[in-house]
Amino acid sequence: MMSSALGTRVVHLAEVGSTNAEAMRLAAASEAGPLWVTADVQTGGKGRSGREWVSRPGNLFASYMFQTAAPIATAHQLSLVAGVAVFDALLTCGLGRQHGLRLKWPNDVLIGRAKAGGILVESSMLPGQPNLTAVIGIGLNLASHPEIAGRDVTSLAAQGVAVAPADALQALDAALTAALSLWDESRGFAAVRSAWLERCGAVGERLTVQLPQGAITGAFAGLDLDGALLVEIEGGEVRRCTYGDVTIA
Amino acid sequence: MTAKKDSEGGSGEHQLIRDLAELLNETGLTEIEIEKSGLKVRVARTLSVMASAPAAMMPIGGAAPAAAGGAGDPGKHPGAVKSPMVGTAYRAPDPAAPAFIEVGAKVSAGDTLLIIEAMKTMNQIPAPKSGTVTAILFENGQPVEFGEPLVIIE
Repeated sequence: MMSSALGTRVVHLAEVGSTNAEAMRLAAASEAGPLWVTADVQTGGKGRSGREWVSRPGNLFASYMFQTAAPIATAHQLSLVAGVAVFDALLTCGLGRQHGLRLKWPNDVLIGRAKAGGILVESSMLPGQPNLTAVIGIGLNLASHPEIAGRDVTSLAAQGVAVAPADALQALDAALTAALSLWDESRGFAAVRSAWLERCGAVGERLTVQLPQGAITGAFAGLDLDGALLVEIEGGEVRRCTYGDVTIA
Repeated sequence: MTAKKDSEGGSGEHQLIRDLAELLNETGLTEIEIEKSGLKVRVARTLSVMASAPAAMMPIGGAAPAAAGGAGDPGKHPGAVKSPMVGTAYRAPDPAAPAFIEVGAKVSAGDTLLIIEAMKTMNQIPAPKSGTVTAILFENGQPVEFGEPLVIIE
């Protein structure tokens, strides 16, 4: 089923395994973006590292697929682009700083310390296609949220903000279109980085970054020019992090 | 290799050029120029040619690096798939899933070989051509650098 209520084409499915996988499949079948893939029911929602994304009715799960002339080496910048867009979409939906809305590196959207949604960005140089295909998958806990042991999770409803999935998608479409325009196929990344820094926690905030070689704890010191997280550890040394799970200490 | 003379001459000059060319190869120099009795001869080969086609220069140059595609340097292998970015390389889409490829596997152009994660963006790296995977040069979860050879397809 296709709909054109938004500025962007929408492929809406009653049920799908994963909206990200379906969006990438459409791209591989030479479907031109941008387009959204949405579903009423997502049976195999994906989080990072194969974590399941629990997809409940009343919540939004949508994947935005597009082709870009940006080099694949800049694809990681889309994590920050997506974070900025989701933040702005939630502002449109009625959330704000008063609810504790903020970003956490690189693309977690938090209400206070609790996760209100998830973003999974994937890219691929598909065979026979000159441009990079990118898929930005966004899950938003609108109506409800799962209880996950050891994880602080919330929903918009739990914050007293009622938003229907269709309205959230409309807000997301506008915000993502604007953020991608700012990004300008990677030429505008400096502006995206600035926008991200306006929407995250304060410099100096205590963070712990879990890395394969161990955890580091220190003070948030901003982002490097390429978007890497900067953490000032004891003694004043600033560490660059390009991966790792970040928790607010 | 180029040879150029600024004045017309007979077979004596040809012999001179031939001698200089041989000298050039023996010494590994890139350019020799001599001037005598109004005759100027310059024999030169360019370094850029040598760098881009070491195998072709080998019989003449002698000083060119070892054969391209040697077993010692997988990055020079013609079937090497190199990392297009800095990140963390994964052999499977998630920890519970089977690896995309194993050594000996037949792949088609476009098949996903691995994923490189960079700032939580998961980038699928496809096979640039069809063939057989003869080497996997990274460990699952290993940090990789730009240009690092990851997989060899023959």
